[in-house]
Amino acid sequence: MNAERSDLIRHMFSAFGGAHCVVIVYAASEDEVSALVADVHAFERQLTRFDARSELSRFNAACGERTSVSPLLSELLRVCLDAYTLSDGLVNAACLPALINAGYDRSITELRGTPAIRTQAPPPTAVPRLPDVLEVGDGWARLATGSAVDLGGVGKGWLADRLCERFDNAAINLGGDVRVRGGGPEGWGWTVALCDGRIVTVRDAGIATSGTSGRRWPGGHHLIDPRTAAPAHTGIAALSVVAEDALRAEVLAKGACLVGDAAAGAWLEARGAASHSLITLNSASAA
Amino acid sequence: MTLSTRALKVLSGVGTVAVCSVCGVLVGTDPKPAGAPLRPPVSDASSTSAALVIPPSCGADGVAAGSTATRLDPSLLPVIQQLRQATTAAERRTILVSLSASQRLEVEAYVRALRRTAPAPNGGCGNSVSSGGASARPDGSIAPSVVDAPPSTSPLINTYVS
Repeated sequence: MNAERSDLIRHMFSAFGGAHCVVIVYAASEDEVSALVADVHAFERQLTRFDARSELSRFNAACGERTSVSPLLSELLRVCLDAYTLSDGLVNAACLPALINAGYDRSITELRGTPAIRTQAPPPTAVPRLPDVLEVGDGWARLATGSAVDLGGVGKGWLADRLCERFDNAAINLGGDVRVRGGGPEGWGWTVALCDGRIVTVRDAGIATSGTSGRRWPGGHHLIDPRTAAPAHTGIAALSVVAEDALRAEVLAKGACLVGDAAAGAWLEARGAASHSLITLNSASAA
Repeated sequence: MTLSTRALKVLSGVGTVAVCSVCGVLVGTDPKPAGAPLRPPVSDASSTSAALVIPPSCGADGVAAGSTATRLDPSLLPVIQQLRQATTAAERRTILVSLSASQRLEVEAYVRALRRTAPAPNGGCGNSVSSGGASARPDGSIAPSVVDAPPSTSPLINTYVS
C-alpha cells in the first residue's frame, strides 16, 4: 500500500458501551473530526436506554402518553418504523421488554462482568407489531402502555450515514456499522473485511454485521426474534451485508440472521442487498 | 295507585339522574387494557404485513398524510437555510461546526425529516447521497459498487457483529 496521504485524518475511540469506533477522512480539518466524535457521544447520551435521564428512557417511561419529542428522537422513531416495514417485522424496536427479559438489562460491559438476573415475569409469547404500539406525529410520539423501544443498531447505522455524508471521501465505523463515501485513499474504493474474512472494495456503501456471536452473556445473546420474544435460534453465527447505506445494511443483516441460513440469501436479494457473507455455526460460506 | 303529573315528572327526573350517575361511575372506573394497541387492526387482513405495501424509507413512517417535519428550535432555522444554500460538503461542515453537538444532531434529523416529506428529484426516495462510482437503480436508490479484493489485501476497515 502506498504511503498515507498527508490530508488523511484517522481517529479511533470507544462509544456505545465500549464499542470500537473508527473515523477515516480525507480533506477535512481536525475540528471537523472532533465535532463528529462529539456528535457520537451526544447521540449516545440522548438515546441510550441505560441512563434513565436520556430522552429515550424518559420517552419509554412515559408510555401510554402523548409525549413531546426532539427532532432527533422523532426521526429515529420513524426510521424504526421504516426498518420494521423493510424487514417484514423482523427488525422490531419494540423488542426491548423481551431483551430485558432475556437478561440484557444493563450495558454489555456490565453484563459480561456479572451474571444476568432474569426477571420473574413470564416471558411474552411475541413482540407486538411496532406500528400497533408506536405512533409518531409532528413533534410528538406515543408508545402503547407497557411497550418500550430500543434503537440498537438502527440508531448506529443512521448516525454513521449522517456523519459520513458530511465528507466527500470518508469511512465511518461505529461499532461494526460502517458507511463509506468516495474513492478511499487511492481513488478506487475502500477495502472492508467482512465477517468471514472476505475483503471487498466498496464505494458509496454501507456495511453491517449481525449475528449471535457478538453481544453474548451467560445464557443469552442480544438478537431477539420478535416472533418468539426470545433470543433467536438461528444457524447463523455472523452475517455481513453490503447495501446502499449503513442503516439499510444493518436492518438487512439483522433480518437475514432471523430468517436463517437457508433462506437468508434469497431474502437479502429480494431487498436489494449488494453482497453478503455469512458464517454458520458449523461452517463458513460466502455469496 | 294514581300519581299526579307532577309526581311522574319528578320520578322520571330522579330516574334519569340515577341511571346517568351509575353509567358515569362505570365508565370512570373501567380499567383500560394495558396491552391495547393504539391502532388495533380492524380485520385479520389488515394485521398482516402483506397489507402494508409501502416502499421503504419513502413514506412508511406510520404518520398521517400531510404531517410535516417535526419541530425545531427556531433559533436553528437560519442554519437550515444556510445548509440548503451550501453547495459543497466543506461548506456544510463549516456551518455545522459552529453549532453544539446536540444542535448538529437536531439539525441533521430535521433535514432528514424534511427530505421525507419532499419528493425526490429523480422520483426515488432520495435517501442516499452518492459521491460517484455507484450507480442508480431504476427505483432511484443507489446500487453501491462492490468488488472482491485480492485475499492479500490489507483491509482499512473491519465490520463485526455489532
